[in-house]
Amino acid sequence: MESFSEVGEQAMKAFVEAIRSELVNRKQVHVDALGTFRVVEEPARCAHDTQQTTLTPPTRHIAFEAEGPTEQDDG
Amino acid sequence: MMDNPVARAVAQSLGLSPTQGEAVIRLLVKHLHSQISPARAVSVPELGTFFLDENQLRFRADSALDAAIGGSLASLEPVTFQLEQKKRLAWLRPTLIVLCVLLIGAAGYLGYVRFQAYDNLPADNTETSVLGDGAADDGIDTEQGAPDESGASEPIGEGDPGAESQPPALSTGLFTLVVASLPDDSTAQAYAAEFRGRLDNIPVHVVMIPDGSRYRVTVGRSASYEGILELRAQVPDLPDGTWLLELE
Repeated sequence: MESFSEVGEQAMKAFVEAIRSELVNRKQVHVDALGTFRVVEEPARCAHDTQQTTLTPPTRHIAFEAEGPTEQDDG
Repeated sequence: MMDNPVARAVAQSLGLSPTQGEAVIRLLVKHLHSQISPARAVSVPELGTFFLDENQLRFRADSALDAAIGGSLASLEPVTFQLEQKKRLAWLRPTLIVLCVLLIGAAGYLGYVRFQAYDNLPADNTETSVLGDGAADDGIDTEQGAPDESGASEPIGEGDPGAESQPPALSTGLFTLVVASLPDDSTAQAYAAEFRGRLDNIPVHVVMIPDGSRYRVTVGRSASYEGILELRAQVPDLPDGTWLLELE
């Protein structure tokens, strides 16, 4: 893995903070040429079988949907 | 007019114009893409990790960000209930049924034994008891007694007197005198009360035959055949139909 520290620590911190703030407050944020981050909530579930019953609590996590192809091959 | 909240926040944080903020984001994203390859993931502190999976850009959120998003739900864990207790109940139910059946059977058997034993015990003078099977089905009315068909009983005042000197072949050792056989208990009790009024120290009982159709009034009990014959001779004014009955 490679850190982004060399790109501009202050700019990166502002960028990350903006994404986090939008996710917490609006549950969704889109970044051009990168993709959309979305808070997904799943309700509680109850699964039965012959041996046991499992209660799964509601969950909330971040889903990411990339936008278009990557630019890794661009010259 | 800027409608991108991320660009607006970045511009505000860095003291840039909105246009410059958008440019910074474009640079950051372009650099991010340039760093990612199938063999290399890129970690953005406090945000997460970007990586390629089958040439698709994926993102895995930082654990701290996930916790912040999850809020109070983040600490909840799935709960699993094993159905062991239900299984145990499944075994318990037929076991209880079997135990109940056994208890009912035992109670019925004990009741039967108690009835049988009660017939051989000296009863008080006011209680109705039940005769054994061998004493049933007599069809005798008050004052008009007739001998039981079983070999355990015989009429008094009829037949060969010499035959009375010998007990029945199958002796149980407990004999009584039946002075009446009546269709209901109240009549039998009234009839027994008449005997009690004039027979001191001789027990008088009302006994019900097992099918419940008749109530016999019995006078005296003796453990020997000779004893009941002697008692018969001592009791005055016995009805003509009185017969001797061996209790089972």
